[in-house]
Amino acid sequence: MASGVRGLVIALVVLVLPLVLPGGYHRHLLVLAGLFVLMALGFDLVLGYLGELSLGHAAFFGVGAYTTALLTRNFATPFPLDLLLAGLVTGIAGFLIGVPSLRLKGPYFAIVTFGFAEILRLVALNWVSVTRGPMGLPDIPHPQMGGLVINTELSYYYLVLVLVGLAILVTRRLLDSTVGHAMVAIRENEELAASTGIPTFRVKLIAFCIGMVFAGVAGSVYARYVHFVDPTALSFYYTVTVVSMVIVGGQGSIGGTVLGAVLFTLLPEYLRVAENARLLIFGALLMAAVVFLPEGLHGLWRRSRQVAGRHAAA
Amino acid sequence: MPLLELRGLTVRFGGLTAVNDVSFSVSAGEIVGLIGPNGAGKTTCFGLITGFLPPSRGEVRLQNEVITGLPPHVIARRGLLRTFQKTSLFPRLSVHENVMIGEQARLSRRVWPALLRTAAQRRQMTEVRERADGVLAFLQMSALRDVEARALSYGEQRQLAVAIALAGQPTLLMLDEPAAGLTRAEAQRLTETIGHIRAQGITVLLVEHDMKVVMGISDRIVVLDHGQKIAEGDPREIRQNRDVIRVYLGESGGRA
Amino acid sequence: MTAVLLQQILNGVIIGVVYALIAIGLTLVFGILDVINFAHGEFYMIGAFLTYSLSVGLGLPYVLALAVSVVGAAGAGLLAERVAVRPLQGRHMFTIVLSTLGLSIFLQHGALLLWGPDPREIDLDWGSRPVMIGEVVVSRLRLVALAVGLVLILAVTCFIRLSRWGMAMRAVARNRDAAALMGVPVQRIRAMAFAGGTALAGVAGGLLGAMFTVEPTMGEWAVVKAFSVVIMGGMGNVPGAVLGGIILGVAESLGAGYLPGGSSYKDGIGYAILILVLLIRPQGLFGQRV
Repeated sequence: MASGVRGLVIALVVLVLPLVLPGGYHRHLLVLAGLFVLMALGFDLVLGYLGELSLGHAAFFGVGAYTTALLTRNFATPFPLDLLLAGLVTGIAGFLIGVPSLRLKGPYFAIVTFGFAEILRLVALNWVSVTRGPMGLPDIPHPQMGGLVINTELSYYYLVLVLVGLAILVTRRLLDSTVGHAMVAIRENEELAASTGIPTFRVKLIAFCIGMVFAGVAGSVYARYVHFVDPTALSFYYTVTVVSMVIVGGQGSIGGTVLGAVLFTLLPEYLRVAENARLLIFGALLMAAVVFLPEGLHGLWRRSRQVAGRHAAA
Repeated sequence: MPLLELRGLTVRFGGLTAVNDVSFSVSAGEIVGLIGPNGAGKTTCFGLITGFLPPSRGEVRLQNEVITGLPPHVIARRGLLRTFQKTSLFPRLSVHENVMIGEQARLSRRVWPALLRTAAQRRQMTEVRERADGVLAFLQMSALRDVEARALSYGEQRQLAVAIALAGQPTLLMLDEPAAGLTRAEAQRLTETIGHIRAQGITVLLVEHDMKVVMGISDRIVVLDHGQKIAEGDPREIRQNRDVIRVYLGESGGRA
Repeated sequence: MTAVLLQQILNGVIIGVVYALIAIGLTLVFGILDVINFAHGEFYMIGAFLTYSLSVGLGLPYVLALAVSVVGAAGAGLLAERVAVRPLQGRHMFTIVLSTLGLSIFLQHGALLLWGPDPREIDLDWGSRPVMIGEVVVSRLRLVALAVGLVLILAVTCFIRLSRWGMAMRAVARNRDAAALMGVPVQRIRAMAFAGGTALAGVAGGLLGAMFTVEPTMGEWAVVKAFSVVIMGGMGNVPGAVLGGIILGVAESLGAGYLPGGSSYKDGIGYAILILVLLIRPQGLFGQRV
């Protein structure tokens, strides 16, 4: 009962927040935060529930962004269609990269996904005839469906909110199914999982593809939001950011991931006061967070509730 | 037609032949014990049968279908489930969740039904939850339902491992040293449990060092030494078999 | 035509030897501490900047500046190990990876703050004077780099195989707990190994920085080379890293010379090798650990 009320309150806050906050800048941050939440949720599927560290996340974000950019610029593809296609293309890319990579584990998997991501970035940088290389692809139009046009921070925010809601729905349904149970089993003990009849490779591939589709969808919206895509969308910086969000927020928990995503979107912005030392402080904070928050923020929150004497929610 | 059949099963690691031309069969409803001194190749046999290890030669048949070379999860889905010599669980999941995973052994893992949350899918998951509770009740572990697997005592953990395999409704249950490290009382309870399992129509093949358990419960016993089968028969015959006695008393291993 | 080929191979070998230095540093840290240091490239960068500051800023002779910056890179490594690695011992690989990623960001932006983003050059008037070996031309600087590289590789190999500290390191790499039980000061060995790794990266930075340019993001480029080589040679395998480094250097040099559109995809060769090796033979071409 308490969690139902809590959910309602959170939903209300989230819906009303941008209306309450002053000005475009804060709404802009909310849009970014939402996009990062979407990416982070996909990443957490692979990290928190499957137990593998993929360092190629930025590449899938970029694939989604470039797909939308190319479709809208060259074929005037209308709104939800390009989003769906971006998701599809990213899913296929996830499949193509996942099949060879998921045979590996641990550090090898991390490094090979990093390698693939960097190759994709090099392709974006050098395949000038299609991607215009470092000059990027500008003039990506805003989404337009019938009379509805999404071209303000506020409207983008609600679009992103819908997508995040869908992502959370998908994640929860997945987790409560045979696929989700299989994922967790693989994370906890892969050999035992196989001996209980779980097709480990297939399950890993499913989780990986779905996670990457989230990233691709985020990339697609991002491309529209900033009207411009260039190879920096595939830079490792985004991957590091997403990894930080999930690990510091708390892997394997939706609430933790959301919290981490919001925190890490707002943090670099608020650190702008420190001007050039901004990312220096960010790096230091990241190291500190990893050392002092072993279970992430979510773990901290969970333990503080236990200490407070209430029943810990599952 | 035997339930499980090994024909000339052989595996070599470099220069060492760990399992050498081993053949035996297990009939439905039997409890067969696989014994032998340390290093005889018993656990290796388990690995060969369950698909974790590919044999150099020979074949394994389950219900007269060849399963040699199939991946472990496929063999599991055909009804052959096992426990491991070294306790293997899902450490951070609760006892109930551990058993739920085992319960889903033969279920399909499809994404769309999961995402669309069809009524059938929801019903399926509810059944999984309830049946897992049923398995816990059968093994008298219901009190431990929500305890994290890694917080259990050693004996409870070994019991959980059996529960996980049992939950998958195996046709053949393979137990690797289920009595290892158990107290006398726990071993006695294990013997009773295996009897109950057989009463449910499940065939059992077990590797075990504890002679009291093996002799007490097996219908037939197969003896391995240095990778080869040296004897096969009912417990009485095996106890009197010269080769078996020599192999066990002739070395300082062998727990009584 | 053979002269051109020899030229390219020689250049490739020289760069490859320096790649090997960076890679040995990374592979040692992996073998002995079981840590994948994603900030490894930043120590390469630190070595380059220290060499720059000492030689251009303070006017020290190049080789001396190089030597001092090696010590500096080692010191930075000791500090980093104490702060970013040691507190995370026993924790999951992901947390340590994240910590080294944080360290990488920290160091990179620290360098940006101190020196700004513009590339610097270490101008050595003696450096570019050519030396003729048969029909092949090579600059003095590159010869020095080759010499330094080979000497260091030899020194490290001897150290690991022959010295007591080296034996202790190998023990810790094999089985940390057993080594501890035998009285090996594991903590100190780990710190030493880490500092040794960063020192090697620092030297490589000082060398390549003088050959090319010095700027705060050069570590990103270097760490990828290091990973490619380490994966090729097998994680924890020092001779593998040496061979892998040379192979990569020569492959890049020949690729830039002979592939269409060569030089822009040159860096891609490293990634391609990385992925191919991981997919076909993940334990490396020369397999097995230290």
